[in-house]
Amino acid sequence: MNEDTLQLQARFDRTLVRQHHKSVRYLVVETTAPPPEQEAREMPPLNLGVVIDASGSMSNHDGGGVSGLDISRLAAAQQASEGIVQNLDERDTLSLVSFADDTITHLSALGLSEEGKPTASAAIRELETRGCTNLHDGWLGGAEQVALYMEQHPECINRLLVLTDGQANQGVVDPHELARIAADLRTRGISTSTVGIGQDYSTDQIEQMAEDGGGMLHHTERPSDIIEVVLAELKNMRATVIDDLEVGVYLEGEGGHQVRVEVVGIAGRRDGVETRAVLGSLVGNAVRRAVFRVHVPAGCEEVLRFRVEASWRGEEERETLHSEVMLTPTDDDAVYTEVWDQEACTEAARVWQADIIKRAIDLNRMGDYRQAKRFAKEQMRYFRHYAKRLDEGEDLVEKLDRALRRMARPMRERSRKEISTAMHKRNRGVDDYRVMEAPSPWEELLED
Amino acid sequence: MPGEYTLEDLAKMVRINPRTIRSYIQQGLLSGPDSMGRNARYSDYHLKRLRVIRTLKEVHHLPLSEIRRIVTMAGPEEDIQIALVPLDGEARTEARESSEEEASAPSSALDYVRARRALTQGKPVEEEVAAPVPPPAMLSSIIDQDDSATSPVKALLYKLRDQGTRASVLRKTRGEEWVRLEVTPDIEIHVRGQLRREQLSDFEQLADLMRHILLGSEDHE
Repeated sequence: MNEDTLQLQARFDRTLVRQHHKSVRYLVVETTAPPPEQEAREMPPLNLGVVIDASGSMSNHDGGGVSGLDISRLAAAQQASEGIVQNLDERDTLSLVSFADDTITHLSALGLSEEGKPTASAAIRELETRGCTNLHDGWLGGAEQVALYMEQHPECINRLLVLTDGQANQGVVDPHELARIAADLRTRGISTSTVGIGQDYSTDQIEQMAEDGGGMLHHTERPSDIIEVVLAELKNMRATVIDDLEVGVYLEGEGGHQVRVEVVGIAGRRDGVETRAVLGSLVGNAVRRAVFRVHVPAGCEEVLRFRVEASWRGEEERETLHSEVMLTPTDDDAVYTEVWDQEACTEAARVWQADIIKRAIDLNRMGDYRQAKRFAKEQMRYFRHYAKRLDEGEDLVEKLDRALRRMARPMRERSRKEISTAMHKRNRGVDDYRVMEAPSPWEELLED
Repeated sequence: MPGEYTLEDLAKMVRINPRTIRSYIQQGLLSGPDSMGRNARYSDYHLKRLRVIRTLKEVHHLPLSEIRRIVTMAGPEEDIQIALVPLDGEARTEARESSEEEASAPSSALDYVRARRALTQGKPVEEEVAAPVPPPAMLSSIIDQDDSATSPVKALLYKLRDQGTRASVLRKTRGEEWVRLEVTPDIEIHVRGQLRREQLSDFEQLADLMRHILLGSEDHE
């Protein structure tokens, strides 16, 4: 990997803060991955674990749609897995695990040479549906196979891809706990991406696994979606040039505890005085952004210097790159007349907007329309105040207002899942992988 | 060993980032420097305490909240008797070096996954994932046991059984489910038992109100 050329750019939406009042500023950090490797041979091998839900509901058919491919969910997952086998080579390994009440390891880090591929295909064909959904143990079963191979082959890119159509109802089911495990796996070198199938999976559970696991969340509805999404995800895993990227921000000097920094819209964590955002893996030339909300208390007189540090997994240890940005306390008049950085402000507003919508969807899903309405009213006040100074502000406010009004009434789960996934992808700057039946723009789903 | 160190000296010796040391001071894990300002100086107490913190964090995988509890209970002057991680540059043989590096590194992905699976499948846990915290007085004796295959919890169990509770003990303790709601990164509400959807919603509103009171309204000017 050519990590040396990762580009890091950090800037505040505004560089002045009020000396005698508290202020909130947005820090936008943009990372750009180096160009893709020219030769596939230069890429590290992929140590992939595919974890497939084999609970009874995976035998359901969701209809063929435009593609006319009317097969069961499990059959689609099998076709997608077969596609994986054909797209990997002898340097790569595939583990295949299925879960229901139990967890079965069908393949354990099998090398995909010409001799290995028929074995893998035969194992995929043997998958059958059975029982309930112990997602947690199935996921860890896949992780165990990947970890086992990783012990002897540290040079690999280690990935888990989990396909499920149900809510985890055995083992660990708490989304926060699943998030913690995903983060623990990621810090130990294994990233997790998740594919939700149909309307019944728990967005909370698998979104947390992907968010904190440094991977992507995908929503699929039809067999053709599953195949497209899995193969596109594989392509991205294969083309990774920056693995497990995090961006951390902390205030240099004393007094850091008075300034509060939080990540907006994506997974984040606190590490001492540092606040870190999880950006995951980047393919060649990919641009990934993190937005931090910085709360500055009243009474700051000195210039506030923030160190911004990007870190990612290198061949032997983590590589880092840093930058510095600052906020200057001054009198109110100077703050009010400051020219806003339109690009940074717009990016911050877009991520903020997506974050508000996702939180409103959660309330809607819980059926708490009263709280959704109250939340919408409060957030709109802040958002409108911020966005009115932006060139695109009117459009952002109008869309958010429409979305939040809609969230105060019952919605179809399909719309909630599509909008939620769209926000997840937008905050990462990643397009939806479904091409054959591309999802409608999220604004249109509000009318669904 | 000299008794006065700059923050950079200290950081280098214990191999902890200076900003992390500052955060430990802010979080109350460590008292501030003996002299303030640009020429702030730290003492042997700081050196020893940082080694203790690093050992508890990296070797015993304890969260900072638990480490804070242990070092607070011990008080600033009291020694916490545990086998400490080495200082940077301390003489060591090659064999020791590798074992110490292993001890201070986070557990491998494989150990972690196996321990997690064992926890939920009810199998014996060989590698502790999130070990409950032994009380400070127990730490030294647990760590003194020359049995690297024994987890801290198992070791604590053996020790307690050895110390006067050989008679059969009636089992009363059962694991419980708790719901955790984050108010701010430093404050959480914990509720025992499973909550109905509307109950959960009430607690979330409570957390929102608390956050609002603690942090005030968001003022974007």
